[in-house]
Amino acid sequence: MPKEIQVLFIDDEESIIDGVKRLFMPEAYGIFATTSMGKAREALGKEKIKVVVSDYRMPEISGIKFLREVMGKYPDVVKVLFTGYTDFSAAEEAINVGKVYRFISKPWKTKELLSTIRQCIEHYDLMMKARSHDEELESANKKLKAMYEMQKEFTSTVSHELRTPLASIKTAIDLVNKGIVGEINKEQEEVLGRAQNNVDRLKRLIDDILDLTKMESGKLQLNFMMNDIHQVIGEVAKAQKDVAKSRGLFIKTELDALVPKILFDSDRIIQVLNNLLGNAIKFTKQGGVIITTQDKSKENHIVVSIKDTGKGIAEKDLSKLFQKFQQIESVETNEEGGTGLGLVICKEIISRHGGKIWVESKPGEGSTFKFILPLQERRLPS
Amino acid sequence: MSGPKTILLIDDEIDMQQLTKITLKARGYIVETANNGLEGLSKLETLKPDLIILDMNMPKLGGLGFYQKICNGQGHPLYPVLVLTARANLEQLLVQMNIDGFIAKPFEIDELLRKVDAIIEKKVKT
Repeated sequence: MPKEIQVLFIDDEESIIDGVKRLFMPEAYGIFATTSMGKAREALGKEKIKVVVSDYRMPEISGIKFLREVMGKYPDVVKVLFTGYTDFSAAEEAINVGKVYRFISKPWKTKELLSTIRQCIEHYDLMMKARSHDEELESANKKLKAMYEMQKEFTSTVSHELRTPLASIKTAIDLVNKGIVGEINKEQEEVLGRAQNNVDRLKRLIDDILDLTKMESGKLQLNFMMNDIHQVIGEVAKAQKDVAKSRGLFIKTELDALVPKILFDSDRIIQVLNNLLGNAIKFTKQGGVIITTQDKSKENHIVVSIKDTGKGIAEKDLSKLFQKFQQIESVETNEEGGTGLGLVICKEIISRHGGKIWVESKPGEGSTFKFILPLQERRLPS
Repeated sequence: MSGPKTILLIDDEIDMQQLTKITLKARGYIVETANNGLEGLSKLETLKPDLIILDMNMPKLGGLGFYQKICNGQGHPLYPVLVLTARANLEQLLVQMNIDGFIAKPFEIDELLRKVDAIIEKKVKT
């Protein structure tokens, strides 16, 4: 099998060409050595040349001009200048104009010449490898981006497609259950009530998934305004008072009057508070929930705590709480199940505000969910 | 003004359309239905509804297209419009529309009726 020609030599002296040919015979790669520009150009077009070695002084065209020509047509080829002169200005010109990678001075030392050419081939191979990696990375990146766009589009389409039939089911159940299409008895009402609960649960799940997708993709626009956290807490507490009362639980607030107005998205913080308060009520059998605020302006934030008198959370479960679809087994509840996404969404919302959310709990001593919101400066750009 | 009010309900989801119709009829409204925007437009040739309840994603002529067709030169619709849709990203869309309200599907019957009553009451007053 003939060796693949990887190196091109061009020199105007036949004796040098002959010498080079003999010298490279034992090498693993093939060379093409010629005194003719025409043949050299032909070889460049035909073979997979990695390295071009050109003499500096040639009658038809200067070595540097030739290497420049090579660079124009085959920018990846590694260029070597072969010269009898140790002429500084030639070297400078070669580097600047010809982008020459190495010099070989004549007369050459066999070992040096061979090792220089090997280095050049290696350099070329590495360059190509790096380039193909770059290209692979770039195309992988493009694919990822496209997939990401598709996923976003997909999520919003799926959510529409899920909501549409769900809406019909819900309205149908509600129409019967509310007695709008005729009287129903207690048992029928109970049966439909259970269907209703699960429709609502499915709806919440779809909403939560969509919400989370928006947040994770950075698509959720937060509407930051100077707001009074106490007013927001008041609204949420009022909205859930009846549920708490029906279960014999209290909701108390202990608000620090020094807490300043701060920048936050009130709809989203209401979502967080509703979630935390809803959970606290759901998992508390006796006692109730206390919502506390604390001004920590000196530390550049405020603290909001939701403390319940429930049975608490085992330490091994604490870290699971803010992960997707991790409902902990130790919790007993007869309520309709959550979506398993509530606290994940809370965490996203709070971190988008530049804040932090965590839980402190011990079995038997209730749980306290706390979050801090910064006083504007550390807010992340939305 | 007295007498029952008329609502034009445009929705391509027939189940949803019929269930919404039952809900509104039970409240005492006269309900005319159309299965898409085009049908809605042809209904308007003979009908002067007190309110149009409009779905967004529909074949032939969707909610937005229908809305644009019933707008006057100043970009105001000739009838009160309540958008009823399962679409997720409505916020951007709604700022471009001069509508009287919107409800996301699935909805609570009470919420629908509350909004419908309010829009029609407002219309009677003006």
